[in-house]
Amino acid sequence: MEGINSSTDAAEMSFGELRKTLRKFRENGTRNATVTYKLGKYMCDNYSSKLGNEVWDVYEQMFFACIDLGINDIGLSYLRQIKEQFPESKRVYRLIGVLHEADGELAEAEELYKEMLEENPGDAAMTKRLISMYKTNGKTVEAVKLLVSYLETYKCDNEAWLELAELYLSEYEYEKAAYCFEELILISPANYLYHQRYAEVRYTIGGAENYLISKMHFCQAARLSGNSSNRALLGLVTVCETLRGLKGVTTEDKESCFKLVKWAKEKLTDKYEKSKVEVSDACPKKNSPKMTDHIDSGLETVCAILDSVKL
Amino acid sequence: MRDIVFSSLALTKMMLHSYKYPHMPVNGVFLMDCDVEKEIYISDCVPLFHQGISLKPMFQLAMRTVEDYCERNNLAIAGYYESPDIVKSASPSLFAEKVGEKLREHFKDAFLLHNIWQENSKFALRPFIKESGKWSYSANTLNFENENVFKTVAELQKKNFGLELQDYDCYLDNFTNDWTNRSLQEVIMLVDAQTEHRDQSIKAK
Repeated sequence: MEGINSSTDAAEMSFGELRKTLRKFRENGTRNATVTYKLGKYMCDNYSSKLGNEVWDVYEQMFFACIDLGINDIGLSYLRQIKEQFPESKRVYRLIGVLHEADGELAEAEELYKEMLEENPGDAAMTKRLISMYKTNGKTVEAVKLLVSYLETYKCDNEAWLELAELYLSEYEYEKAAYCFEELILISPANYLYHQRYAEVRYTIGGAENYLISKMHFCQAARLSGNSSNRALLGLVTVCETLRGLKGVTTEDKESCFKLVKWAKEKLTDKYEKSKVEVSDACPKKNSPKMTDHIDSGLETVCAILDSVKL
Repeated sequence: MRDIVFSSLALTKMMLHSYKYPHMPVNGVFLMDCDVEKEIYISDCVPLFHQGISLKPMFQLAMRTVEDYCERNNLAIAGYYESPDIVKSASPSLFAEKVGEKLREHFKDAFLLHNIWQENSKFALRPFIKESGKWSYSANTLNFENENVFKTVAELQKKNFGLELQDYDCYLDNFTNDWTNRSLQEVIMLVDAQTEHRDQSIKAK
């Protein structure tokens, strides 16, 4: 997907390419409304008969792109076509709810969602819609309540745990957010992102004990990502620096911090140097030092931390 | 207190940051030019984060990196902005207040700015300064170097330049992403000069 951006011309793409791109966007949940709209519109205008049954998926995709772009009336035209085809579909009702939301008719949307949920309490997608509606309208308390009860049924829904964690973070409830990340680590122990976030949350709470947990999970995140995660490496550097300057931390822990920072610095220096080469190669004006200024600043910061840890 | 004057470059970067991540809260810092004495001249802006904006480790690191950058370029961090996805209250968030306190340790006139989405893709800018122990809304602190800055932003957004903006989060994903946005800078200044010029010629008629 690297080559696809807002300046891509849909007319230069073949039917197959268009279909593949739009499909990929749907599968990955890529929320790139401008591009989706451009490609999707060309697709619908030129190849709608060629698409077969997939046309309804594309219409739905276009509907969401329109809503994201704030062109609700065009979105409505796609929704009308879908509704004609599937008049009783729950999925269509959800789209109607979304349109209500986009038009600012929140009460109508809420009523619709609640009605649908009464009919079918196990409808996960509808529950999530209602949660996200609460969230965007600042009704955090309601959103949290509904999410918590949802998670009692769907305990292994990563997305929902993550959402709950984000909600807690926006309320500065770091301990509760940490709990969510603990659940996420239990569900997917090999996903480095959860370790990384958990480490960041523990660091934010602060205190020697939390810093030690944070250090452990930054290490885990670095390892699981195959040392590719800059955040994990930089987090490790940051937390080790903090631990070195702290009372109540054993000499043994401080020793290990020093070693870790040294190790992380090597890995980072390597990455910085590689990035610098990449940037200068891409730059038309050779040897302009300014273009790598942002990388130099980053490297400088890490070196300064290593110096302070040494003492 | 001296007047705060915002360059188009600084404001444009901040607004493009919101445009790039319309569904997420974003934050960043304003840099002032230390060579200008008669006013607080905000010459630039560094967009920082669009995910996990209330977490400390990467934020601290970002602030240190930006400070190093400032030192080398005779700049200083003068303000902090955030554009909350949910507007809970008219006052700065807890996190913003803490950042504000930190900034005040080095620069006592540090300010906070709320950048809020409104209907028709416009923004409401709400500056806060600390007065008698409290962060309070201060409408008069906002001065634009070019009054047409919103036209500049609209023009750039229309051409999708918002997607080219890189914040510190992007930089953490890949070190080649430039949080100083040097290549975008030239485009912003060019478009801004055009909007300014166009406005003057309309007035002249």
